[in-house]
Amino acid sequence: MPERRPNILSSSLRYKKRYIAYKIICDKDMEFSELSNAMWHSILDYLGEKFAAEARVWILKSTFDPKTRTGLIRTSHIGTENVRAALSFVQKVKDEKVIVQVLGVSGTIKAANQKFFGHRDLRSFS
Amino acid sequence: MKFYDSQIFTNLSVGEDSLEKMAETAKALGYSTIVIADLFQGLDRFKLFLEEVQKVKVDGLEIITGVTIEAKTVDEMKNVLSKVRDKVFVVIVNGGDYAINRAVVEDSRVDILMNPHMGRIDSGLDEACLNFAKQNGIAIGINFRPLLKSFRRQRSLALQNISTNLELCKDFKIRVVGCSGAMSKWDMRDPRQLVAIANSFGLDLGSGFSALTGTPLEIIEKNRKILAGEAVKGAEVI
Repeated sequence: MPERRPNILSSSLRYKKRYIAYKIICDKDMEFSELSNAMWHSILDYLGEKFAAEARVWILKSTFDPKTRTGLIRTSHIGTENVRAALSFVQKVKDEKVIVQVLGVSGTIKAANQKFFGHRDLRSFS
Repeated sequence: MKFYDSQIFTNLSVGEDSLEKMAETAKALGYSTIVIADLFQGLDRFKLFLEEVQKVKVDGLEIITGVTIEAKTVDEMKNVLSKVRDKVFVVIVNGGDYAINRAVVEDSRVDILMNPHMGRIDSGLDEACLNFAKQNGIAIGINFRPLLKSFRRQRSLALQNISTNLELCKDFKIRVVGCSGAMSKWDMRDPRQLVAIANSFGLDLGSGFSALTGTPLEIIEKNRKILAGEAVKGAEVI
């Protein structure tokens, strides 16, 4: 029997999401899990468990591109500035020195991909 | 928007990376101007430093000369200050000791008092200091590097003192300057992230932006005019 799930809330009842686009400046390639660990460590260190929960942080694995070392982090709209600040405290990913550069903030994944990573869909050619 | 990093160290003094590397990283992170404010280590090294900075050119990035003074006594600070004031655009004094903090804010030749809370359990500024800082137009500097390199209790204490100082600066209408204080290219951060950190201390976004844009620009422009002979303290040729 399939697991029952609650229905999706109407948009006015859902929290407002923001997507932070980032780029990793470093000398070597890295795996997503290592980067995610370093980011979570830094966010929890700086914001603490309570504010990290309020910021509703989620580091999206599917958006991480190991070639360009770019990706997206989902937060709530009230937590954006705090998460941006917390990301500046990431210093190392598995003993490799890094800088996490925030490229910008967007309201949807699609807009973030178009604005910061130069993705195009068919409509942009018409 | 043009962002300024007001204090960067290179391997010409205590930094780890060369001026070229620091400049390239700053450009990649979105800065339009950086102030190379190496630590003063004697007049000979200072002259060499000025020559080296003049040689480096990076497209799309302005490199300004500055100096950081770290003195143990007030006399030492004043002595160094008289030697370097008319040679650089930005003079920064590292604070921490209350006597130094007080002497800095009383001396209008200084541009920025950096980290007055450093190594202290209090914020390092009292009402008298704040009044002098306002009167002499001295900005209070917040350096990101000590935060980056400290952990847990140390970082918490530093954040607490910075937050107090920012609140006091807001009350007394004293200018605030934010900078990375980077000693290697890995210590540098995107300017918008430094604004976000200032914002998380309670500084509103507008003041956070002016700490990295308007205020450093004002300081540089003022000193540029003085060094070019177009202005003296308190008067300007129009």
